[in-house]
This record gives sequence, C-alpha cells and structure tokens, in this order.
Amino acid sequence: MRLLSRSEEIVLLSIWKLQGNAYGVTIRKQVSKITGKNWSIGAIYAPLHRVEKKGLVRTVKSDPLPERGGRSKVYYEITPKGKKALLETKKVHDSMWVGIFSLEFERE
Amino acid sequence: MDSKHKSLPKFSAWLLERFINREVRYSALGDFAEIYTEIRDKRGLWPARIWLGKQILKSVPSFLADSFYWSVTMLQNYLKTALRILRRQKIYSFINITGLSLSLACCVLIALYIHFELSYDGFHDKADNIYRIIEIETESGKNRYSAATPAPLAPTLSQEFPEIVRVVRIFHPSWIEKWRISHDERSFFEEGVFFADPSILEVFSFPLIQSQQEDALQEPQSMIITKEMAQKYFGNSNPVGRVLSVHGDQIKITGIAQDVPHNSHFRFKFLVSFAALESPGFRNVVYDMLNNWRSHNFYSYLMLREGASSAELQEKLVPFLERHFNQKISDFDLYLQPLKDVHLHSKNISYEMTDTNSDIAYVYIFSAIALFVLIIACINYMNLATARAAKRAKEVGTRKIVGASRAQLIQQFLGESVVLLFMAIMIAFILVSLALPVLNSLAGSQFTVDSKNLLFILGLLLGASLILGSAAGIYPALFLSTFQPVNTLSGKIHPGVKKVHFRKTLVVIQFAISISLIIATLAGRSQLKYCLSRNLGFDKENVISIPVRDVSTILEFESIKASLLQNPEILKVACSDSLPGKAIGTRGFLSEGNTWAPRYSLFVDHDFIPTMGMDIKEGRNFSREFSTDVEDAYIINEAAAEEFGWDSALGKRLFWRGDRNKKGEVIGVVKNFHFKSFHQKIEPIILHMLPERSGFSYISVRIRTQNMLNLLTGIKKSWEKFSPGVPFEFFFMDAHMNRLYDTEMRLGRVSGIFTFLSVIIACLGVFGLATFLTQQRTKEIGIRKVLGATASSIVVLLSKEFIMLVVISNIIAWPVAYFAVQKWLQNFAYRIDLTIGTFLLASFLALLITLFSVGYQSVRASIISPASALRYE
Repeated sequence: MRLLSRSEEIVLLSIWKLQGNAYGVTIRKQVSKITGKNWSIGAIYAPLHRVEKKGLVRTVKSDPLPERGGRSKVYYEITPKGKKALLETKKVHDSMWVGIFSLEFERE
Repeated sequence: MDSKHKSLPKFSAWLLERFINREVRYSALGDFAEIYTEIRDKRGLWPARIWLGKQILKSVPSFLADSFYWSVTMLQNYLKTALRILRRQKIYSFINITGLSLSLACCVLIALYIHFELSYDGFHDKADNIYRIIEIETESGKNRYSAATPAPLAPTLSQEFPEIVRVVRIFHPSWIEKWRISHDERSFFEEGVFFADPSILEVFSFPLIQSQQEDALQEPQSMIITKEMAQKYFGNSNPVGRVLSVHGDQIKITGIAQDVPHNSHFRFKFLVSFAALESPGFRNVVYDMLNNWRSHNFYSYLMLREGASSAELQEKLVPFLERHFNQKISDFDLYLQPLKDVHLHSKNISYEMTDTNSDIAYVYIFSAIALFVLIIACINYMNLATARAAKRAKEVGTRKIVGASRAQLIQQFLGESVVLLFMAIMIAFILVSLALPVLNSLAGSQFTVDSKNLLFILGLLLGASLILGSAAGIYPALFLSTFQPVNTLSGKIHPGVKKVHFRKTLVVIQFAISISLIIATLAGRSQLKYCLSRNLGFDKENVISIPVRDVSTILEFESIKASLLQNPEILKVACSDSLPGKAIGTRGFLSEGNTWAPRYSLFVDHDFIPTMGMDIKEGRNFSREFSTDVEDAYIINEAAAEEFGWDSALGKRLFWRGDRNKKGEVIGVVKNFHFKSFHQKIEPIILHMLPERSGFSYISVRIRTQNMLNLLTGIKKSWEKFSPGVPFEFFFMDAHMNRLYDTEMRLGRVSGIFTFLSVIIACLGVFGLATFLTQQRTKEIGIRKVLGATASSIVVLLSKEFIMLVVISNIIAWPVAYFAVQKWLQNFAYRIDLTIGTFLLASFLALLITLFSVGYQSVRASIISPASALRYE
C-alpha cells in the first residue's frame, strides 16, 4: 500500500494517542501540540477525511450536544488497517534513520 | 434541531457551510461551534468572534483545495462512464459519431460557402457608401432592369448632386470577351481587361503594391496590372514604366495591384485608364459611345457622402432624367443598388458587366440543407438516447439512491454528449479538410483550410456543435434524469417504452426531410437533363466555333473558308457577329405596324442558317443569287413574327437605325431556336447581313469526322496560314451551350452529395433504432416462434412499423417537395412537368433504404432459435 503522507501520519498518531477521545477539537489540539504549530480546522479535516476514505479510521457518533450547536461529536477510531499502515510507516522511518547520528548530535 | 446554529453567529455559519466540503461539514461545523463556545465563555464574545473570523479565513484554502479535488474526481467518473458506454455499445456510438461528424462537416462546408457568398464586395473600405446605377425600363407593365448605362450619365450626376462624392465608370463590353495583349513578340488573348476612371482607386479598395495611389491611372495611356499578370509578362523584373500593347495601342504600366480577391463581383487583370478609350486605336470599339446618351454600354458606380441616403437621392433624380433622357419618364427610372447587393440580389438584372453573380436563393437552399442535415443528426441522437433509456434506467436509479442529485445526473448525461460531440468535432475537422478539394472541384470554388480561416472553421465547428449539443443533448439529459429510482429498480416501468410516439414523430420528420431532398434532387436532375438534351431549334452537335478577336483575321475570312472547305470532313463554314449562348446585342428596329424598339439582332452570312442546322419555316434563306440580300433582306424568328403581329411575315418592312440605316423586308422566317438558356423565353430575333466583314467575330464550322484530333490540327493549320501570330482558340458548340447551366449543374452535384449524406445519416438512425427495438422484443419474438410464427411473418411484423412511418413521411414530404421544386422550376421558362413518377421513385428509394436498414435486424431476429431468445435477460 501507499505510504502515509506526513499530515496523515500526524493525524493518525494523534488519534492513537487520544485513546478514544479523538474528535475534531481534541485532534486539532493534539496535532498543534505535537507540531508546535496552530492548525486550522480545515487543515485538520483534509487529511482526516482522506484517511477515513482510505479506511484507516472509522467514525462513531455521540449524542447531539448543545455546546456543538446541537450536533454530535464524531469520534475517530483507528482500524486494524490503519494500525498496519502506521507500523509500516514507522518501519520505513526507522530504517531511514539507521546509521544517522550526527544530525542529532550536531543539533544538541 | 432548531438550536442548530445557536452558538455560532448566523452569517459565519452560513459562510462556513458554503466553504466546507459536504462530507466533513457536519463534524467541522460542530468543532467550530464547540471551540467558539469555549472561547466565548472563557474570554468573552469579541475574542471568540475574532478567532472565528481568523479560522474561517485560514480554513478557506484547504477546504477549497479539497472540494476541487472531489469535483475533479466526479468528472473523472463521468468521463469514465461515458467512455465505457461508448465502448460497450459500439453500434450506438458508431451511428452517433458518424452522424454527428458527417452533419457537422456538411454544416461547416455549407457555412464556408455561405460566408463566402455573403462576403462579396465587403472588402472595400467604403462598400456601404458605394452604389451601382441600374436602369429600369417599363414596357407594358413589365420592368426591365439593366446594369448598362450611358457614359455621360455618371459625370453629369456628380456635377448636379453634391452628395455624390465620386463616380466611377467602367467599360467592359460583353461582346469582347478577350483582348489582345502583346509584349515584345509574344501576344495573348486575355480576359479581365477593364477600362475605368482613375477614381476607381479612391472608391474601391484595390491595394497597389507600388507607386502612389492617386496618380496610377491619371495619364490617359496608362494602366494597372495585377501581380499575377506582372509575373506572366515580366517575370521578376519591375514592370512599372514599361509598355504593353492592348488592342494594338501602347499603354504604359503605372502600377501593380494585388490580385483581386475571388469575392469581388469583377476581377480585373488589366485596369486601363478610361481616357485611353478616346485614343484612335479604340475608335473601332467605342465608336461614338463616349458622348452618347443613347448608348448603354458602361457601368456606373457612385460613392455617396457619409450619411447620405440613396433613397433621397433617387427621389431627386426624376427631373434629372427628364432633362437628359429623351424618354417618357413614366417608362424610365434609375435605381441605386448597394454594392454589397450586387452579387446576390441581381437576379433580374440583364446586361451585367460580369457573369460572377449568384442568387440569394442558393444561399437559402444551402442553408436549408445544412439545417436539415443538422436536424436529422439531432434526431438520431435524441432517438437513440431515449430509446436506450430503459437500459440506463437502472444506472439512473442506482445513482439517485446513492445520492446523486438531478443536477448531477443532467451534468453527467450532458457530459456524455460533450464527449461524443468532441470526438465528432475532431472527425468532422478531418472530413472538412479532406472534402474541401472535392467540394472545390464540384462547386468551382476556391476554399482552402489555411491559417487564415482555420480559426473560422474551428469556430464554426464549435458553434454548430454547441447548437447540436444543446438541441440533442439536453432533451435526453432532462428526460433520463427524471426517472424515479423506485420504478426503475423494481423493473415496473421501462421508461423508454413510453416515448414510442415521440420517437416515431421524430423518425417521420427525418424521413420527410430525406424524401423531400431526394425528390428535389431527382426533379433537379431531370430538369437539367431536359435543358441539356432538348432540341434547341438548331443542331448544337458537330459544330466547332472559332472566336475571331482580330480584325485583320476576319478580313481573311474568304481565304480561310476556302482553305477549310478543302477538307472533306468540313461540311460548312459560316461567320456571324455572335452565337447562341453568347451575349447577343440589341439594336433599334422599326417594324411594320409597330413603334421603335430594341430587338435582338444577329449579323450572319449566307451559310449561317444551314451551318447551325436551323430550319426555315417560311420563305427562303439569304441567297447569293440575290445580291440585294446583303443590303435589304431580313430573316426573323417565329417569336418575332408573333410579337410584331404579322400573320404572314414575308415581305413585311423592317427598318434598322444604328451605325447605318437599313431599310428592308422580311424574306424568311426561321423556326424558333434557343439563343439563350432555358431560363428565358425565346424572344424575337432578327438575322441580317453585313456588307463588310469587320463586324463578324465568330467562324462556325460544321463537321463530320471520326478523327477529331486530326481535324482540329487541320483547322489550326489553315488558321495559322492566314492569321500568323494570332493565337488559335476554338470551342465545341454543344459544350458551349451546356455551359449555360453550369450553376445548375454545380448546384445539382453539390446538393446531390448533401442529399446522399442526409439519407445516410437518417438510415444510420433508423438502423440503430431498429436494432434497439428488435433487441427489446427478443422475448416476444421467442414466444411467437414457439407458438408457431414463421420467420417471414416476424420479418413483416418488425418491418411493418417502419414502413408505416415511411408512408406517413411521404404524405408530408410530397406537398412540401412539390411546392419547393415548383418554385425552383419557375426560374426556367422551359421546364419539365413534375410527374408522379419522380415522387414515386423517391418514395420507392426511401422505402428500399428503410427495408434495407430494418431488414438486417428483423431477419436476424426471426431466424434466432426461440430457446436462446427466451433465455435472453
């Protein structure tokens, strides 16, 4: 399968970390925290929508909530396929970084 | 959920809804609301609003990119479906693409022709202010229009009316087709020699390559020649300042003009200054015409002041005419014809300067054909698309259920039409490029696909396909997209079936058009055949005519004749001043019991009537035994005897007043013969003799030979002996008479092709429809066969419907075609009677073609084994 894009990877990892509390707002916070950048809602949904289309995550709706203007929260959950994709990506990352120390060393 | 947008400001919510992709809109809006509420509760309303605004702005780019991605994806999907359908239904695609591309190509070709016809004389900068003077003579309630005017008319007009800025007189006599042009030792007979006032360069836009515009024709003995002629006579050297001999007169070249465009109603090659006509060399051409108000041999063009009205000027002409023309004013008038009307609106005008004029009727005829071909192709498309609706019904239902809106479906079906049309356009373009040379040779035109009109052609194609696409594509799109999923998926209704009547109507229209075109083509052909083969009152076969353009040659006539007659294959030799089918002049005659009137008259010699094979009805031919015949004998035709009211014409007095006066009497009546085309009734004509030879310009030779080439070589030898250095020309009388119908022949050939194409396209459509309908009835046919129907009864069953349609089409087509063809036949004074045979033949052809298109499918269906038919579906 095709490798995940960076934004897809970040979004997936955030969902993983949020452990069942992953919906738009929390994902955005998490992503912003990881990357140290303030992501717009639109910027979150584009990769989120893509990974959903690819079947890497599935959604579960909560009951409608007043603070959301009467809408449900849409929770995201990683599917086994998503997990596999993440692991594969990690493997690629790891093998890419093998033998490269100086980069980190120089930075410190 | 009325509290839906409670937390978000309404406008922002609305804005976001537009921006955010449908599929994530729900969650994203929730997120916006949640964070907005949070900030508002913690930090107040305004910070929340500012945050929201910023967020909206930030979100726009990524959402837009996303929605663009999805619309492209859908487009890909449509394209994929369209191509799949095209590939899967090969017959359907073939029929549609062939029909569409053929009709598009037809339309483009016809549009090119029409555009060309309408563009005549439009290239002159001042075209809108230029008028040609037409004389109207009223004789016993009938108007006669003539383009030829006296020479003094135009200059006098310009002196008396200030709104006339410039006048141009052009001299291009119809009785001199070619002029002798000599350079050094070489000489040629050239067409396209025009004499014109120097103002022609200011009024018309004929750009010069060299020299100043103003003085190019100022010198009396000067002329302008075209680039083509410069190349012919002088090669690459500069001709300006050099001298050519025109009709034996030395004329200096003072300018080179660009070759005159084909869409000009006169195309000069040599433009000689008008003043040259006053030199002694042209005395034997113009005689006293230059100052004579009664000699109508010049063409007058006026340029009016910007904004001046030609109608107002025309009103003021009445007193002018009374002063200058010695004629009763009620019988005579002038009409100012706009320059741009000359080419297409001069049908009734005689004594034209050139024979390039066409008729607006042809523009209409061809527009109608183009329109018909388009309609037929449109109908094919609509018919096949709706007929196939049953097949697509399931697809429509499924698409609707998974959420396609009607607009999207319309988009999809229109998209399919666009794909089809796009292919058709490409093929049509190739067809046009291939067909142009063929069309040119058939129609005698000069169209090319070059960089200049490439854009025009592509524009035409796009325009025509836009019309086609919207006419043919929109209906099926609207129709197919209305299907209700419940009905189509449950299989209750086959939506296409309900449209049977609509489709039948369309097929009837198609066939009515095709049958009308076939009838018109057949009728046109038989009229043409009639024109070419009917007895003309003289024998046009086996006559060779030699134009004599040189006075010194005609003076040698007796010697040439003697030399020719030594050849046993040459039976008779005669000479005359003109010939049937050529321009024949009118001269003023006073006939016993009538008033002065212009009559057609022909100068002939003793042998002219026998050489031409004309029959004497009464009296005798000119005879050498009566020496007075030369001076006082006339022979008239039957029409003249009738016109003059003479029961017995022999011995009646005739008086000719012209260059000379000639009193005489009628010695014979010749049977009517056609000296003009069948468009015109045979008019009175007077044949008489001339004492001197110089007035003659044709030698006609009656021959009987097996070896034409040998004979022609012999004639040429005799010619060269007595006329050294003068080019030998000849034509066959029959070919020359047939050329009178060039326009009709071309029209016939071209419209024949378009008719053929329209029939082909209609056939394709019927074939496709029959294929589909037979497929739909596979099961029915199976059951019928099981119950004992024979193969032939099934063929009849399946063909019957279409035959009925053809019969109905005939009922519509016959009267329409009858009136159209009658209207066209009115152009001919001598014409065929429309017989029922033509109609029956056309209908028979249509029926045959239909049976052929339908038969294949019905026979195939009828011989299929019932078992496999019933297993179908």
